[in-house]
This record gives sequence, structure tokens and C-alpha cells, in this order.
Amino acid sequence: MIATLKYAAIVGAAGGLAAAYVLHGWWPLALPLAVVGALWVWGSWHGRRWPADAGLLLLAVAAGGGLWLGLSAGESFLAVVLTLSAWDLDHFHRQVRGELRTEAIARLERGHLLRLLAVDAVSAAVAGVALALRLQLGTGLAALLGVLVVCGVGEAIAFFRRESD
Amino acid sequence: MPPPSPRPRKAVQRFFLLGVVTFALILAGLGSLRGELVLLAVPLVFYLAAGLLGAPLPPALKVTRTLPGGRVFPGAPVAVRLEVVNEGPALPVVRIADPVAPALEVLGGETGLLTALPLGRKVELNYTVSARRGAYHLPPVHVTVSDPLGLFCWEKRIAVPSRLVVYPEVPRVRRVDIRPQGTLAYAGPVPARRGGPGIEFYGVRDYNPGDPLRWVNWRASARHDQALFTNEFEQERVADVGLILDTRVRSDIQVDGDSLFEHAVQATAGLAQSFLNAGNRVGLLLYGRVLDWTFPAYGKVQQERILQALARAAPGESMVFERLDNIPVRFFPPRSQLILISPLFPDDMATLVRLRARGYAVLAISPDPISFEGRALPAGEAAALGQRLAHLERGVLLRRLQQSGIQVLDWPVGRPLDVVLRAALARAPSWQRTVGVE
Repeated sequence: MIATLKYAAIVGAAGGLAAAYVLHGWWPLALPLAVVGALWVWGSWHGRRWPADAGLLLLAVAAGGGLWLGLSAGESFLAVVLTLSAWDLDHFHRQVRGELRTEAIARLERGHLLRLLAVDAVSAAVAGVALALRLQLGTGLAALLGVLVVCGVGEAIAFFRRESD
Repeated sequence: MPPPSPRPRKAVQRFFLLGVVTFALILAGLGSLRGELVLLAVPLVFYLAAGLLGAPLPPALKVTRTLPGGRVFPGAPVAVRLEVVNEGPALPVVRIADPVAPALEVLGGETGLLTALPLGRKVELNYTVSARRGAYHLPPVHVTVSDPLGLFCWEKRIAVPSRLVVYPEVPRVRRVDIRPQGTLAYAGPVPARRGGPGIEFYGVRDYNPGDPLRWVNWRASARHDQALFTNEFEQERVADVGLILDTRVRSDIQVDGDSLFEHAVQATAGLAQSFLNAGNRVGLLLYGRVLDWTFPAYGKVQQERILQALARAAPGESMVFERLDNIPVRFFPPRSQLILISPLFPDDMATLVRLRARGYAVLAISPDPISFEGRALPAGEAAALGQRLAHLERGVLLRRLQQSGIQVLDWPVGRPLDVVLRAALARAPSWQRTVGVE
């Protein structure tokens, strides 16, 4: 099941984003996206890790860049969610199909899917609320978020320093 | 020794990649004042947060590795069982790997496992390995615990002291006739060179009152007036036997995966068993890279000690022990029997002669390296001629040793040692015999 979901997510992310680019008249950019998706499927089939990492990076950039090219926020958001899910499932599938014996595979799969589903659902809910309320990012809010991000990154660095001591 | 602490929790590469993408989206959104871009980072932020919340606590695992009791011989399957019990917090994803030592071959079963371990749960790994002769320390067990999303992990190497000793094959060696100058106090199979109760005729002496009449030598007595003579028999005692195994690198010749040294080790094991079963006191010296000395003793326990020493015997090189000159003679009781198992080299002769001169009875059992190596030589006139010359050279060496009063057994390792020993030692009538080169 994990494999099916993984391939569906990769095809959905890359194919959906390419289709959105075509619909908005940017078909020359759709082709590289389809290639990225194909490469990811190929890499995933052969158990390679780097195509998944490259896929996450390129599709996230493409989703963000699409906002300037006429893609709607919903389309880009959906592409990012599918990309994240595909990247996660690719890793999990590689882990469980490795050379090791996997015990309680059903429980591992169920736990993992539930967690991923929860992340996706909460993100979708937050995004839905934000889009419905049409929140505008003013300078003040941007500055506030910027401060929060800087604080968050600082905390993260401090956390990892503590852990590695 | 306290258990090694786990390596610190670490964020795996995935965390950093995701962090960079998230950070880039947010920064781009804030920089361009486009809220949609920040919105795209929301699923990534929640994913990172979920990973952080589910980050595993330090694992507390009890690991035991069980190896079969009793002796293990080369190539025999050895069932290994690894038991892991979680005595700490629940672990969502655990990867357990028992890295098998490179010298061992996995025949079947699983050496790794990916599972979830709730508190108190136990999992087992069962696998079968086989190995060549040797003493192996099994490496620590690798345990990796990660959060369900695989963003953080603990790595732990748990040392589970386990030692697998693969004994050498012990070929059957029936009684080996030795005749050292000195024997011990207890009755045994070795002729003691002194008269007394025994089986073999030893000599004739004057009759002493109390001698059994059936011991009187009537034929000798009839030739003398007023004199009676009594037959004497040779006492039989146990003896001190020192086995010396040559572990110098040059004594190990490998041909098609077969090792001359292995044959020598097996011969030593067979001889040790034979002498110990006969009640003798046996010691073992491994002479090569180092001196590995097993103090002389009797019985089954000593047999175990010697087999363990032979299990760990390996050819090695040392400048000090390149020649046999440094054999520590004080290890061996005076006038005892020494048995050297070595292919023999020309520079060994002086040492062997010196040992003989010190009063030791020396038997050199020499696995024949020429015919052993000859199996791998290409057929041809030149190879045959070369082999013949080498045989002649070796023959000269062995004959000179025999002439020095050293028993020499030239052993083509293709034939069982027992057969060669019996054929060689049973033929000559005298205790002074030297065994002929075949």
C-alpha cells in the first residue's frame, strides 16, 4: 500500500504542478517538472535517495515560483502537500523494504500514515482558514514573522548544540 | 563495566533539507510580502514540529546474545540468538542490526530487524553462521531509534561480550610410541628404562628372596652353580610431552584454499589428545609471532586448554622468533619428550640437534611442503624437475637430522597422520630408531 501511495503522491505532485503550469500557459516549464517527476519515480523504483531530495527541493521551488506565474495559492499549496507526502513516503518505503526483516509492518505503516495524514490535515485546515479569511501580509506582520523565524532558528541551533554536547 | 552511553540524538540529513526549504519559502514570502509563499511553508513547519514532538528519548535496551555451548568445529552451523528487551520508553521505530564478524559466514536467518518496541516488549533475532578455526569476538549490536517521521535518531552500540571459539578438527591418533629418557612417577604406557613390574623383558639380575618363581630365568640359572637369576621387566610410566607447533609465517603454505598450517594444527590436536588420553603430562608451545605457552598438565581440562590455544593459533611473523634458536627450553622438563610439528627448514637443524644434546628426546613431525605445494604446480618437465630437486634437498635435511639422533616423520598431508605414524614408528625395532624418509 505504501508503494502505491508513494507513486500516486509523486505523480500527483509533479503531474499536478506540470498540469497547472500548462493550464496557465507556461507549458515550456511543465516539461522539466514532468522530467523531475519521472526521475523521482525512477529513483524511487531503484531505491535511490537523491532523486527524492532533489524532487522535494525543485517541486517546492516550482510551487513557490508558480505564484508569480499565475498559479493559485490553492494549487501551489496542494502541490507542496503532495510533494512533502511523496518525499516522506519515499523515505519510509525505502526503510521498510531494506534488507532487514520488518516486524509488525502493519503497525509501523498504520502509525506512520496516521501521523502524515494528521500533518497534512492540520496544514490544510490552517491554509484553508488563512485563504478563507484572505489574510494580508503587511509590513508589520512580516516583520513580526521575521522575528519569530529568527528566534525559531536560533532556538533550533541552540537545541542541537545542547544535544551534541 | 558500565554500559556505553548512547551517541547523542542527532538530526538526520532529512531534517536539515526540510529546514532549508521551509526557511527559504518563509524568507521569500516575507521578503516579497506575499503571504501565499509563507502559506506554502505551513505543511513543512507542521511536519518538522511533528518530528520534533515525536523525537525519541534515550533508549534503554537489554541485549543478550546466546551462543551454543560445547565445542564448535570448522564449517559446522552455529545458531546465534539475539534477544532485545525494551526496558525504557516506547520506541516508535527501532532498527536492530547484529553485524557479523567478517570472518563468519551467515548461513541463514536474519541479522537485522526493523520494528516498534513498546515498553517491556522483547524481540529475537535468530541466525546461523559458520566459521573457520579461530577465536572470534562478536562485535557490538547496532541499535538506531528514530521518530516515526525519521527526522531524529539515537544511535547506540551495545557491547554484548560474546566469544565464539571454533576448535580445530581433531584427527584420531592412536598410541604414539615415545621413549624419553625421563619419566614421571605414575604408571603409564611409556617404557621407563628401569627394571621392575612390567611386560617387556628388560634384563636379568640375581635372584632376591621373595621374587616370584615364574620370574626366575631357569635357562640362565642352569648355566651357573649355586646361582639363581630373575628376569626383570621394564617399568612403564607416564611422561612429560612438550608439543611445539611452528607458527612462523613461512611454515604456512596455502594452495587452492588449503593450508599446510591447518594440517599442522590438526596434527597437534590429535597428538595432544592421544598423549593426554594415555595419561601423560602434556604442554604446548606455539612458536611464531609470539610464544603462546600452555603449561603442562594432565587430563580433559588440559585437553580443553590445548584445543583453545590451537583454536587461536595463527601464523605470524617476528624478528625474534624467525629461527627456532629462541625456543625457551626451560619450559620443558629435562629429559622429556619434545615433539616439533613443523615443515622444517635448513636453519632449524642446529636448534634441534642442540635440544637432543640437552637430553630431550626429539620427534619432528614434518608436514611435507614440497608435495603439498606440488599439487598446484602446472604439469611439465621443468616443474617435475624442480619438485624433484626440492625433494632431494629436503631428504638430505631429514637424513642429517636422523643421523643426529632425532626422530623424523615426513608426513605427506594427504595421508592420515595416524596411518603414517603407525607405519613409521612400528617398523623399527629399537628405541633408537629413526624414522625413514619415504
